[in-house]
Amino acid sequence: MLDKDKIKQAIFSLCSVMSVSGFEKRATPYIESTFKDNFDSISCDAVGNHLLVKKCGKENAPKVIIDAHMDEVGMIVTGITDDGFLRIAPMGGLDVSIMQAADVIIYGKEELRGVIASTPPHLKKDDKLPAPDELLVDTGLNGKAVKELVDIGTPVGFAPVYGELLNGRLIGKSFDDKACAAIGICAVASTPPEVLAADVYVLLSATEETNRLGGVSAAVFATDPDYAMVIDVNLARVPDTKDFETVEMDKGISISHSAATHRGLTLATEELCREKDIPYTPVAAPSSTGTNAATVNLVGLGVPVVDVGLPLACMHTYNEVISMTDICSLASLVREFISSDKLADKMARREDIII
Amino acid sequence: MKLYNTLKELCLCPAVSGREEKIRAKLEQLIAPFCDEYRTDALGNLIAVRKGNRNGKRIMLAAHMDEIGFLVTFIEDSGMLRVAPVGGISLAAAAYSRVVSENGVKGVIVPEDKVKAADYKSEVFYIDIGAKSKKRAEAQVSIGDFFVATPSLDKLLGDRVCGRPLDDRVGCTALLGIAEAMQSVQCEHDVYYVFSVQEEVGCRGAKTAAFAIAPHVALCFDVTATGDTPSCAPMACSLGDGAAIKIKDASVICDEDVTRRLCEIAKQKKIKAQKEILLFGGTDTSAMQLAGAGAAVGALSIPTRYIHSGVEMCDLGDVQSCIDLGVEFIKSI
Repeated sequence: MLDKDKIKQAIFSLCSVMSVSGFEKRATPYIESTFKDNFDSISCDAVGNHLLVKKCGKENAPKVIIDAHMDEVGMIVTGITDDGFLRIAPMGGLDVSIMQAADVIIYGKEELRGVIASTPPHLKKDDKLPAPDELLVDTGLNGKAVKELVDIGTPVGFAPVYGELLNGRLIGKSFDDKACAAIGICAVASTPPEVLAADVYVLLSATEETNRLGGVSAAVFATDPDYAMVIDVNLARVPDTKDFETVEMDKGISISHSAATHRGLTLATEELCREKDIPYTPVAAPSSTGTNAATVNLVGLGVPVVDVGLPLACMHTYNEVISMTDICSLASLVREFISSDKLADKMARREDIII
Repeated sequence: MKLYNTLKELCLCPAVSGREEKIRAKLEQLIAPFCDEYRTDALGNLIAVRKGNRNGKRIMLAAHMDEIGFLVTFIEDSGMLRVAPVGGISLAAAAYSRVVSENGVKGVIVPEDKVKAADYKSEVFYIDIGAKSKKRAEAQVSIGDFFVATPSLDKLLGDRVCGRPLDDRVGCTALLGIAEAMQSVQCEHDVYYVFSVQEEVGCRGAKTAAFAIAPHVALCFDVTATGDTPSCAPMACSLGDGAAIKIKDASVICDEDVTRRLCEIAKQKKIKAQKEILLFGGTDTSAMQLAGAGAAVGALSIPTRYIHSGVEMCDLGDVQSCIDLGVEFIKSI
């Protein structure tokens, strides 16, 4: 059985571990120590992709990847002023309008707390936002002291603070996409090996937020899977968004229909949802999914991939919002997906490729 | 002096992206004494290797040998040539400069008379080779020929040099310097020296080269911008402050272990170095990181002012620092 509280705690815990895009390797000790009992092997490649492998025990079993990117949007120190302020640049798509006065952690020689400097409204001449390279972080330390702890290239993240709203909504940072990663890990970890229809590779991929193509390709190339599911967050509907660009919260996960994903696998995944009473919403993502799926699709000989989304509001802020209902739908789907012999039979590559 | 001469020799050998034949021939000749074998792959990358023993790792060093320029797209009845840019041309920098074709035809590139600088786009530019008619022009130039802003290299004060295309002949110079210095080093690793093609049009060459080599570690040698000119954007990187150890650019975040090791070696060996975060632009580093199953990557950049203009400027002391740091890095693995 999927344990809701366990999943929730896993989400809060994984999302609290710093993994600003490009710095995923710093999370390796946490991942290894936390999940080693639930997987046959855990490894990290040169790019920072982590692979958690759970074997089904059958000979010549097909290989399935469950991918969720493990990097989060954040910042990096680009300079230090003589009076001790840190110059920063965004790592990934950050909105400057939410950055000023934000509570941040600087992951230097020590973890330092800082606040992004903000001009009070009394002193502002106009409503113009500063350019990202004008933002400064105040740690309270002077130039000399801060230079001993922080160097150019130090990652900076929003301070991790987690909580719950009414109606099963969770709030916190970097649910994009570590909530999905935690859900994927929990779903695979709680499925007994004899139930698995394939060898399962949970891929916590690197640099999705900063690299147009994502670091995912390296791990997919090395794994050479028969099929794959990419799980990432999707834009949830809020009052000022358009219906056709967003998905409703509490109505389950989204499944993309896209040129970048595999038609047969997509339809089979939807069928699986209907069979198992897992709520889902089909969405159209015509030429690309905007997720790792579009990269995974083209690795090596090509990989059949389905793109699944978890609705999330306030994306790329320190107060992202997701729903427990949707979390459970996603966990159920991952579990059914890796346990479906029908899918595994359908997707297993049976012939060697002859050129 | 030696660095200057090598750099000058390489600068004076034009090679627009996709048309690297001449510079490749030159580099073949220069790298041959320092490697066990070399080959050219299907895209045109020159891949030279000095072999270690069988237990070693594969270390890939790369610098791109292509440069930005123009391709002739049309010859007008008047004898003027219309051109399309190859790579990230700054038209403001290109306007009213001397150009030369792959066959040595000289000319000037200019915008149409009434176009203001703010309205520059490549369609309003033409190359004037002095031809009186289409027929005369056609005797010298064919559609598809490339032109580049006239190559040059001059010494300025101190160790500073100015000309083009420092991007990235200065990286190629560093690679040659490392290969030469490695002659006297016992190394158990296979060290690959790759002079890549088509970097300026999207880091294409390094991708296939890295796929073929499948390196454990890869280092890129290319130019980076600086924050040391009047009213420029803030950037903690200056000419003359040493090899720039790349943390990131717009295409890549370097491997933390590689950058840390580079920083530590620079400190230990007292090699001048600085850290680099370039907020725009990409390098072959990204292509090497994600080719095949991926590699741990880093980059040693040569701080360069006025990149992609005819007056690129760098400090040869920084090139030497890149060579020294590159050699010590290989020795440390």
